[in-house]
Amino acid sequence: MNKETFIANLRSKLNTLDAKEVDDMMAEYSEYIDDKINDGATEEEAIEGFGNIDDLAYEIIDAYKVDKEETVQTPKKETSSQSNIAPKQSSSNVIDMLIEFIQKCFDYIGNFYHDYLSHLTTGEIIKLLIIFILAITLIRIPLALIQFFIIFIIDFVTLGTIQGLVEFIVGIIFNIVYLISIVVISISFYKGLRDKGDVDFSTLFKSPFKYFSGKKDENDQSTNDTIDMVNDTINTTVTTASKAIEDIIAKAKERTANKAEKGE
Amino acid sequence: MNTQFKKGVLELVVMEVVSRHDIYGYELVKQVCEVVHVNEGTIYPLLKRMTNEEYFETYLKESSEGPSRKYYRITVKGLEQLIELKKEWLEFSYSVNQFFKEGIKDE
Repeated sequence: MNKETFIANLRSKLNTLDAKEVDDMMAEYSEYIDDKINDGATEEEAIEGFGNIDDLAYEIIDAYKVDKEETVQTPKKETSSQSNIAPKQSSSNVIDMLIEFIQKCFDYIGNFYHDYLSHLTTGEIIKLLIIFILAITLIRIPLALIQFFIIFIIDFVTLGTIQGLVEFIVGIIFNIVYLISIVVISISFYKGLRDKGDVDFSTLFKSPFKYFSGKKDENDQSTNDTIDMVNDTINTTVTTASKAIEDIIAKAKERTANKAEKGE
Repeated sequence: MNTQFKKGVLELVVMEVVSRHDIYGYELVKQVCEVVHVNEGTIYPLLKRMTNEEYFETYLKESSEGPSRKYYRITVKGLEQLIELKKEWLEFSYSVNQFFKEGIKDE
């Protein structure tokens, strides 16, 4: 191997690093080889001194990693010292933090989609949404009925301004209960997706159902049967609904495609 | 020699060589290799890292024969680090040597 091929080989293995840095390094290696040849070695010997080219490339990249961390740290230090000198910048820091937070949220959503949803089809995602909306709506109905019943009683028992106040408080309490149930449903959805990765009423709700119905009933066949029955009904309804929606989407796509063709 | 030994002591030897006088790559590698027999290729990444850590600084200097060379010079930060490392090394090697001497006495 001669000097040129050695340098070219090494350079090709360092293509992940900054080009300028690599240029700098290659100049130094070539200088070293020239010096060694001047000292009486052959070109071959001078290059052999470097040993295995892969090991060398690995060590260079390894050494480079350390200073990459350094360069990442230094600008941070600068910004912090700047903010010490000029407290006016604190508002921009808050904005920076906010932007960072929003970015993190988006990252999280992206990761969540990638981890749990990307393997699902559009139909399955629609199904998931329908189940979610259905669950949220269904849970509102008994709550609303109970609320209505309580207010009905309050109307009889209390009078005037107190009545309005009590109704107001009851309304707030029921809304809080509703919010909590939405959170619970969301968590059970999250857990169902994380554990099974399947869009199915039973997988999405079985674990919280079991949890709420008490661990002693775990072998209770009737609970499971009810869940399965509900699951079947909801599954068929939701599947038909999601299929219909999928059809609509497909047709819409066709239409736009047709329009585009006609336009051309 | 054990490569783990070499790796640990190489940084110290390189710093010591540069601290004695400003030096260019080839000469440095030659001097270091007289003390620690390492692959010549491993010294350059180390030099790069230590320059980035601001232990060394570089400058170009015309040579009597051929093009200008890149010289390495130790910085104040580098000197401080060298003193610290040297101290550590002396203490460490002393205690290891003492430990071996005790073994010989016991036998």
